[in-house]
Amino acid sequence: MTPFLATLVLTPIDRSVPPPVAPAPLLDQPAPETFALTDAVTVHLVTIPGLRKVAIDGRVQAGSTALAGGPTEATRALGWILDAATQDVDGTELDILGDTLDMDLWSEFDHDDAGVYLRIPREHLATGVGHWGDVLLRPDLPRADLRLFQRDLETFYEVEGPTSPSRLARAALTHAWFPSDSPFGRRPDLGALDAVKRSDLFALHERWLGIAPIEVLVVGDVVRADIEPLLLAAIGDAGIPGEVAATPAPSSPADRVVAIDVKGQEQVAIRWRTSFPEASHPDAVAARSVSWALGGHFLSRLNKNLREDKGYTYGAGARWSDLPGRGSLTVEVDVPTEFAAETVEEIRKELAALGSDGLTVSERDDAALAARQAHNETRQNAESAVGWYAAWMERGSSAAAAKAQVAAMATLDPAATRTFAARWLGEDGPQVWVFVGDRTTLEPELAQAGLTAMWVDPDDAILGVLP
Amino acid sequence: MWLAASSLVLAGSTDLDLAAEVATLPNGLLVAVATSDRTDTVALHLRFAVGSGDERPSEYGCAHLFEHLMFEGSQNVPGDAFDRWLTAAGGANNAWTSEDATAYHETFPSGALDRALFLESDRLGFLDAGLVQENLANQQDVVLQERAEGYAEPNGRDYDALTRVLWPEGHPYHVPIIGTVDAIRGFTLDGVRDFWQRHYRTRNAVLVIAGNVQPEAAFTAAANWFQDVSDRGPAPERPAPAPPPPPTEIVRAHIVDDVELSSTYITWRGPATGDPDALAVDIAMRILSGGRGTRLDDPLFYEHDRTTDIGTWYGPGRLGGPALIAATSAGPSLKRIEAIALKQVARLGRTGPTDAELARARASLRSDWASQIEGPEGRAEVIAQCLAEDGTPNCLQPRWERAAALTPDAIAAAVRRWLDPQAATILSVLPSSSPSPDGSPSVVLP
Repeated sequence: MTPFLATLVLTPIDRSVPPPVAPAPLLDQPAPETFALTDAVTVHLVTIPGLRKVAIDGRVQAGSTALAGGPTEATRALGWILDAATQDVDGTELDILGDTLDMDLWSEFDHDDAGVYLRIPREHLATGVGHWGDVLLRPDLPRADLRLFQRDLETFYEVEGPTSPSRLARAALTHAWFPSDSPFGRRPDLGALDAVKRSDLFALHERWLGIAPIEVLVVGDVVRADIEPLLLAAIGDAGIPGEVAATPAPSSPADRVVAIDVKGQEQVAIRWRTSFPEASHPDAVAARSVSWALGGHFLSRLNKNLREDKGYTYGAGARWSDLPGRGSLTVEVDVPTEFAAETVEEIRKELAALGSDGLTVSERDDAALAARQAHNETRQNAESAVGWYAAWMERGSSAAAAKAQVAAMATLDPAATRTFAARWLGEDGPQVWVFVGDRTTLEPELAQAGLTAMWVDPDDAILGVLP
Repeated sequence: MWLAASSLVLAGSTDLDLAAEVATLPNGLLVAVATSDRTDTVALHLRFAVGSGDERPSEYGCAHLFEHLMFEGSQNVPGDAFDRWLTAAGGANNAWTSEDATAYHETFPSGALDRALFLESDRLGFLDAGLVQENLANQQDVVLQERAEGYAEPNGRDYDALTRVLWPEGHPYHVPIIGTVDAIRGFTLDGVRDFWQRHYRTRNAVLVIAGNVQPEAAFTAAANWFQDVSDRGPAPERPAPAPPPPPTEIVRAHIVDDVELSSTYITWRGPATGDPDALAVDIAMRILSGGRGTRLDDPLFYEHDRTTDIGTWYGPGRLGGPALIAATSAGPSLKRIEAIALKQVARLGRTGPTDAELARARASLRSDWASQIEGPEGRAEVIAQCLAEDGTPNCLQPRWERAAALTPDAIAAAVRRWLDPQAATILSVLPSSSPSPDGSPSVVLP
């Protein structure tokens, strides 16, 4: 028994007021050490002692938008099978290595960037970096995996997507929000999916690597002397890229009400989206606070109203997308169809209330504390740390600016949030509503809410075939 | 002397060590404290030994309902103040319910430890003041919506059907955790108060504090805030039915649902937590499925176009746990898929795994455990689970040593004992457009 336990004298407690809280520090997250590995590769290194794993994100700062004007079935296929095998190691061996070394190694192809990602225990770093480099520069792109990808995506488009209310809502919202000529609104193409060939993917891979430099973010209990030679051996031969083509500005979203008819559905999935600032916008601080207060936690305005007071839903949320070119705020809630009209009205009321009154001081403070806590948890493990650094790098920001934004939330003038909400959540901005439910019972509810919807079949909604 | 017992488990050097100090408060509450200071965060995890398996027939879903009612106010934390006061301290919370346990967990800055302990102690000691009809009715609605959301998704009813097929009527695991619509609607205030009195006792709980705290300060704070929470008696006796006799042949059942692809669940009642075979069955399921080169994934997914999804799962509980193979057909009949899967299970039981297969599966198990305890939240949860199941906070390293000692023969023997291909229970999930099933009974989902 430790000595202090035996001698402890209890202190009287007072339950009439919640105990005070000592202020939490706003922790410093070190700026990365940045160095050029070669003319084609820049490395950003963050050393955090004690982390079990090392995280390596290798990104080419060009994705489907620069390559093809938006995601195509070929860019999706490349992202899916890039990590399947390398020219030296087949897929089975790579999977076995993943399990035996506790190595996560995967690829992703996004709009603005694409890359290969590694999480590996410190003791297996050299082996992991070797395979990571091979996946990035020397993939095998197996034909069998291309077939699996084609079958999986076809199953999604034709079977799994159209039968899932949540997937239908997500797809329809994306297609209703982004016009088809936007890089973010590119519609699926089943015919093109079948036509993708392995040779297309090799050509696309080569073009991808030639279009922009590689940026490598390394986070873990590792210093430059450890990682630099490993990276040089793995990707030191990456070719010198050209210039990224300027991305065309996407068309502006327009007001739309889309409803998807799912027979027999007792609940309705309701989604609403409007424009919101991007992360680099001066209003980003207010955007973060307002979206959190509206639908970012259990007692947010939407949850308090629709879940706690009315019991209509398991949960309501508001999600802020702050990525470049995709600034938007989305409200999400599922309710029984009989409450659809009232729910729409309540959402409108909550948005209007923000525009007329702004945040309360306690909402402002709570949002700032939540952001501070999230910021302070950065160094919990390799995944949380690399996620934090990658997020602000993707937004063209810095560690210091990210910290400053969190600090600024604490001093945000609540009156300014009123002005902000009136500007961004008012009726002037584009608004898209999406409903997924049974037309028989849902249509009268929409009429009651004053909404006239374009009705779409589930199969069309998944493929973005909207009127 | 206010402490009944205390022990210190020293930190070791491996990634599976769960260093923690443990003590029992005078009211019987077991408290564990684990320190790590990489962030300012502290995690608090309060686990009660009550789950859906402890419910009486009139209480189906009540354990899970408490996951909601516990946030609706207690004597000194009115209305929604639990969330409000924790949020105002920079904290966040959630809860979960299983067949065997209900857990409440928070993360918060280290300066909010007293606040979090005040909130948790108030609802353990004085929840009855917040158990009022308005809150009950509201949370009944919310839970019904939670259930409806899940059931609206494709395959959202599979788990409900699976528990009913796998565990015989009357077994504590027969009814799904969320309960039935009628049971949820039927809860009364007296009923939920009685449930709380019976199960929410200090001697039926484990409190773990992990993160940026020093043991002395954490124990002192816990002792202070729980000092007026009375000892309402020993942990209630838990249902302990004799294990149902295993099937002697393949048992089939089906549901028809709003899905477009047929799925099959090939299931067995696997060993309980703590059974010497539990780790062997876990490893066997990883050998069967877990990526390229595993025994089911290659023939059913990677090398042939037979399924759109294939996977295995084993979830041991106090009274046993489902060990299952789940597959969704990409075209072939479910019978064909089942035959291939059962043949592989039989082969594993007959010849055991190769050394390479065993090493891979063991490494995958270790990796899952190591990842889970990297942050304070996961570490607190696993320590609570270790204390509940193994009576020690540091259960992963000993479990790992047992896993590392398993031989191919031991795996094969466990497969023969628990995963008999001739005595599986098979649930088919069929689209409404499919031809009439093979005469197996349809599972009724109340």
